[in-house]
Amino acid sequence: MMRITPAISDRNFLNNVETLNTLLEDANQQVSTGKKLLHLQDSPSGSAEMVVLRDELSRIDQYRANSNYGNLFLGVTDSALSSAHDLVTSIFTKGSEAATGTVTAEERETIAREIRAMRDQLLSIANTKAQGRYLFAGSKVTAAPFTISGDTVTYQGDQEVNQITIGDGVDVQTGVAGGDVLMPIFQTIATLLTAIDGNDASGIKANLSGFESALSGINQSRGTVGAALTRVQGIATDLDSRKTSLHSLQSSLEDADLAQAITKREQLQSALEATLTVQATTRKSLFDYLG
Amino acid sequence: MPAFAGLAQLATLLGLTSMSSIFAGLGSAAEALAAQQFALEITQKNIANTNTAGYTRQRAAFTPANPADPLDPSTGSIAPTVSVDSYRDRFTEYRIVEEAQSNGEFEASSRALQQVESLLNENNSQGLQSSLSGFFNSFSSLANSPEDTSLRQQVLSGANVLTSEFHLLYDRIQTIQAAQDRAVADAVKDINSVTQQLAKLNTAVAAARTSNNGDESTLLDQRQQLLEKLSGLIDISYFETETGGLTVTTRQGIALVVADQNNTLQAGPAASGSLLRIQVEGQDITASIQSGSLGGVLKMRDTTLPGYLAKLDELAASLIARVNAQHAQGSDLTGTPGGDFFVPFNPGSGGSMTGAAHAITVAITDAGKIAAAGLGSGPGSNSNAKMLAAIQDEKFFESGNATAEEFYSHLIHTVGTDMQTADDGLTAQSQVLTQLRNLRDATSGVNMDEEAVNIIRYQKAYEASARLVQVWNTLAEEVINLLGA
Repeated sequence: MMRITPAISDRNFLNNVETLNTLLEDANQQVSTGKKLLHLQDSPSGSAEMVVLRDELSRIDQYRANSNYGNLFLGVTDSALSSAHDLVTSIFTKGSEAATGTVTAEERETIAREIRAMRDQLLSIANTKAQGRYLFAGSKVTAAPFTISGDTVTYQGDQEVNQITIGDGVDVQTGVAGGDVLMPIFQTIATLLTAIDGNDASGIKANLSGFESALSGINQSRGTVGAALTRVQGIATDLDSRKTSLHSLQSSLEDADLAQAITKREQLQSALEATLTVQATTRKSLFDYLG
Repeated sequence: MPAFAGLAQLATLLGLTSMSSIFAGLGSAAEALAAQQFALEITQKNIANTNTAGYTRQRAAFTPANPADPLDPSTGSIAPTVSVDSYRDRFTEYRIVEEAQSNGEFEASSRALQQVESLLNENNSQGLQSSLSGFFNSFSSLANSPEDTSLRQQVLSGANVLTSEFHLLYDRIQTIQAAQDRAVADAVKDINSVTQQLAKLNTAVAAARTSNNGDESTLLDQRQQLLEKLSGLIDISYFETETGGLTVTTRQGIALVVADQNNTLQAGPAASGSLLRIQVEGQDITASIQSGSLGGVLKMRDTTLPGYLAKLDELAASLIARVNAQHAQGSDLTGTPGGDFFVPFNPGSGGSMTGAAHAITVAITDAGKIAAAGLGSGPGSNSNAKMLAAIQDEKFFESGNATAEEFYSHLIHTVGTDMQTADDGLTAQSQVLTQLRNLRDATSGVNMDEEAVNIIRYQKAYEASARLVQVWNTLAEEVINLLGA
């Protein structure tokens, strides 16, 4: 049996109270912050994992923002190409009208005016801007890529098409090479107009076949853009679900089990109270009983 | 007694042999009174020192009296001789001194690491991790619309946040390191003060032992307290010489206290502005100090914190080099090839990256100079911005095994583990010390019940002895009256 002195009791008491207070403080913090990873030493590997996890989450947010840009650029490109397709179809129809042998020279002049008006509309579509950038300019986005002088349209852009990253290792193009798609159309329209101006029915007819390949070029581009759009939208869904699962991983790493933390806190509180009560009531010595 | 002895001789002359035993009895009773009184005084001392740290309880040791020579009943005494016994537990005392060392060491490292931990803990705040992510993400954003001035501006501000996070972290860890250096100076002062007191105590213990005046136990208590304090400061070895003097040396055997002399430790910088070195008798012992708070502080100052700083330097230096190299692969808004993105860091001798995290600065102030475009491409080209953003996925740390974030997460892991080691060590060590102190007190501490019992016991014995004095006195009076008759 160990000989007990007041110093031993005091030391043990203080130790117990200190330990309980430390544990209680931890439990209190867990309850009030809802986190169990309060300090790096609570779980060094968990803390390190959290660094990578937070980085991954912020990347997902970034990919999500990028995919929003992609969505915007591709969406605008798609509707521009769609409008272009409609206009080119109308021009083709007008051209076919002009190719008919019964059309008079005056009527051809009117048709030419109408075609020029539609060509100008097409030109403005070719110079579509989104977020301040000319979408069909390649990398030269700060200046209108298509300029016109007489009936001659000139392309000032280049063939570069940007890719953006919308997922780990997932790149998607944000547009199409505008010059490659639209310049053949403008050239076809220019020659058509020359033939109409020359009132040359067979020349007009010969020219109309050029529209077929121009239209199929637009359709091809729309296909590419549509596929990219689908990809962007699909990835966005993927990103959202990955974010959810990363959040739950993060939560399992750092979130406290509140019910458990509260129960633990109650237990510690009672233990502390009991310790204090015991200390306050015991501790008598023989001296207390000597007269 | 001489008066009684004279009477006894008279009684003997008178043929009253029984008279001698009467006076001897009276004398013995008086000695017994003195003995109980002495014992009570010791009890009083124990009670007075109940709360004195390190006090070793004392006991009156009653030794049976020398029996009288049968041929000469006037010799000898029946009253006991009384001396002081201390309940000293030398083995446990030694263990306490031993264990106080690691306790001091863990305390020192835990204190320093706590500060580092709060810097790196990003649970609730922005920090290097989020600014690294933010920096690379800003390039990724820029790739969406590379000619956009506000996105370019965001890259610059992201880069500036990153550099200021580097500076903040680096400078604060350096501040903690400097605080360790000041703690070295303080610990050295404390050590010198303790060794000086120990040397003085050596003289006092020797004197007390010679004069046997009962002070020795108190002096040994003081000495033990000082040893515990010293050991909490620095790892020591010690032994007691035959004359009771204490010799204290460092673990490497360099004398700190010998007899009444102490060797003063000197703390001074090797060069102005550099960290303090510890010398004793002209010998640099800094590297040999392994434990105690001084050992802990030195470990933090010379190994642990520089280790963290080196990691930050490596991270910063590699980022500067890699980002600059990629930046040069593109062209800016005007089509000019990219210049330095960060101010280049020139490694020190032997490729040392020391100071890179402190030096890292964004070289570009004009957002238009960010080389987002591919070489020779227009302002809308994003190929280089994309490559710059992709640096975050490149594993160019730890021999191609870790990305920048992973590298940083390993630093977080290291700090967490170091902190855990110090915390767990401290908890375990303070439990060990508590147990040992309890063990020591079980032998040496004052227990009030015992003292109360002793008071009663000595008081009763005193009362009985006093009663005897009275009895012997009556007897003697009777004899004297008889003689007078």
